[in-house]
Amino acid sequence: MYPLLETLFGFDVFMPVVWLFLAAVVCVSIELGAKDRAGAKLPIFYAALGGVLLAFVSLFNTWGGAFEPHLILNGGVMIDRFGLFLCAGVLIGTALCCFTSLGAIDRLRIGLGDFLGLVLVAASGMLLLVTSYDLIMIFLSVELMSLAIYVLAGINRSSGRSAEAAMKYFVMGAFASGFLVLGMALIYGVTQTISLAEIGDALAAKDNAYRNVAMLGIGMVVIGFAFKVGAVPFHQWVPDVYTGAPTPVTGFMAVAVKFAAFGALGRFVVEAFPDTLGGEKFSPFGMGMFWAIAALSMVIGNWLAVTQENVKRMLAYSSIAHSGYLLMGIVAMQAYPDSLGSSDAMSAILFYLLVYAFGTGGAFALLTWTATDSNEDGGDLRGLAKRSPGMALAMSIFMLSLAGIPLTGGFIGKYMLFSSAIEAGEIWLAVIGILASIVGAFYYLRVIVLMYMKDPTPGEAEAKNADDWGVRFALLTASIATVVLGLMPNPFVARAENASVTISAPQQPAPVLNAAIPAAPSRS
Amino acid sequence: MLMGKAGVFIAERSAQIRPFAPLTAIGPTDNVTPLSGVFRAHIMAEIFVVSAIVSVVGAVLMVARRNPIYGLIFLLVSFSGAAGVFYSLNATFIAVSQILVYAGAIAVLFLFVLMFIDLGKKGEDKFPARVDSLSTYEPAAVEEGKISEGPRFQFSYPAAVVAMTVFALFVWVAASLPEETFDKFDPVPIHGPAGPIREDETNSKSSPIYFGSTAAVGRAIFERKGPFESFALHYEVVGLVILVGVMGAVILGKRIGDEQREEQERKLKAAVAGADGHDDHGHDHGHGHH
Repeated sequence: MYPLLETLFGFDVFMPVVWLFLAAVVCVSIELGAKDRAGAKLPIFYAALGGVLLAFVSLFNTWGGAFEPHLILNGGVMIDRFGLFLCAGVLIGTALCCFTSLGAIDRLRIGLGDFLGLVLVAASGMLLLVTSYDLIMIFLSVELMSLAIYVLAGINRSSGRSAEAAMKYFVMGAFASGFLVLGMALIYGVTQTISLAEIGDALAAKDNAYRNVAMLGIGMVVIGFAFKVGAVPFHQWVPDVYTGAPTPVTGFMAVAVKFAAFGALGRFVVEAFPDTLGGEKFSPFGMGMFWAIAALSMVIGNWLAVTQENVKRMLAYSSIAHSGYLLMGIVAMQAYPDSLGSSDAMSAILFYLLVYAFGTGGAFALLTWTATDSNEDGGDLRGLAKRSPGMALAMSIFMLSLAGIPLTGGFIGKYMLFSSAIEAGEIWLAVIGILASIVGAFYYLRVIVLMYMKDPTPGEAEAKNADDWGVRFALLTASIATVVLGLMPNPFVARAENASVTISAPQQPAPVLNAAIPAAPSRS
Repeated sequence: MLMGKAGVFIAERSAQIRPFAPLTAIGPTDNVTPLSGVFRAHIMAEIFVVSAIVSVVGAVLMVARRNPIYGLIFLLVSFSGAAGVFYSLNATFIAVSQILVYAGAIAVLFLFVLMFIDLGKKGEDKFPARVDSLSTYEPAAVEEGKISEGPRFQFSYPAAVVAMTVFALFVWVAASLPEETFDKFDPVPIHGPAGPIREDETNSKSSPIYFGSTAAVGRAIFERKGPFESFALHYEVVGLVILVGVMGAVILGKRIGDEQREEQERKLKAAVAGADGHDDHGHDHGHGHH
């Protein structure tokens, strides 16, 4: 039998990626065959949603079964609960994007099939990224994800700003990929292996004459990831790209890309970072870099967000700040002396990602809803409460959650992150984070003031998208989820903890389920 | 005298050198001694130094040329130099694909595009010679000729500091390596459980498979047994990446003329309908009444 088919269909745990890709092909095919673009919209939407749902189902089949973490595809992909949790997050972001783009697509002068096809391909790249376990797979899935998103950022071809966003993102992304792949080459040169766990073991060996090369390689890989998550000082592209890209795409970038990039970064830090390097404790260099990036992202992201007038641009800067909070979790994860604590920090990161996904995804969905032909950013929220109270309420929930006010998911997420940082002994970083998030609360609350206490701009007509049920559904789901995460977080926190225990706990080397292949002897 | 001897030595040895194969014996290995050791290291070191210089000089000239066509030709030179560097590292497959894919296909494609956009003699001026940074780039300013005046490169101190720091970091790391790192030029055979893996497994005298050679790359992707890891899925994911690239090019490159015309017609209709709005309303009302 053809080995690839055997490889693909022998593992039902790999099916989410296959479903998404099949759905993407179906979407593009419907678009190609359709005579009437408007009539093809709904079938394409249902095909895309069906793909996402099937992926969800096969994901939960795997999660529910009694399973041990195991590697498939010859060590390229790791199936564990950590990866599955992140996959679920990516799929949530994809589903939100499907719903929000349903109405917004008419303004972009592009077929929904092309658009959702690219979204689904990007999502399948993300699923691969959060489960990938060797350097080649990480690089390939980063590229698969990024290429699709470059195109999505520039998909509004009649808008100069959209083209600018695509160009900037492409140039910056290529730069980041250069760092990533050069770092990987250096790491491979030192360790002679591409598997993350083996890299960690090889670097921990005492007599490593090449420790400086390994340091340089790890530093460059981290810089590559920092570009992708938009952390200071690698954040220059974020505001322009987030503002220029069509709003549903921005929401997708903010939610799903963050999930994917932080998932891969977390796995890289846990698996590939040695405890010791060349006989010395590893932390100073690596963690010093994370510390600085986290602190700078929190301070500069929040500081610049305060001065923004455009809500979309403000959310872009706030996403930099949120990257900072999440990086603080990674610092805490490494600062803990024991693996139990670091699994706490990891679960805080996972839970925060979930909360952030609903908060920021919902906020961008609302901006999609308020957008008009003249104001594509949907920035004019003045007096929204008088025009449509339900929408204003949903937006308030998202803003309160992003600010970290109690009764919303954001509070629980921030509480978990800050407490894990403090328990890990990173008091100063936590203090910086708390001060920065107080500044953050100011500009989130300003949006609420704008909506409830100002009069609508004269001449600002009722939003044309009032009957856009896709966005309405997305907003409803996201706001309910935000409140539920705040009021009864326990089941979700338990799942996040369950997911992070498998990755942080010291464990036996994961078995490779690839019966036909004997274990590879080392190259001498 | 010495030169003469060296010349004879090189002539004798060069009979054994075959391009695009690892510089060791290939084929029937019984009689041919592998070209290795100090002499081989010298040849490889010379290939490395020459190609590295060609590559770097080509890259610098490519950036410095004002005319994009000259820039492109220097890019070709730089690619060829990079191919030489790969060759000196015994990565013959990458060396050949560097020539075939980058120099052969991609650069020529660039050349086609540049030819199509009709540069002419004033072509240089169509390109903004000085772009302060991506964020301050204004097409309008370029059209007005504001930006193409002035110095060719905007010197930026932060960028220079960052570049020098990264360069210094690399030099420092290279200097900290053990000395023998730089003497390793021999290709490394891949070892299995029972000695080196050979091209013909039944014949213990056939050539071993060297790390980085074309045989090793092919087996790593397609073979599922022995010491070679199967990279079939990785290979398929490369296919997906390329597919997305094609999809993106088609979507971004689609003509929007038809759609714009449709939209204009729609707007025109809407305007007409707006002018006759009252009549339409009356007609609808009448229809409903019936």
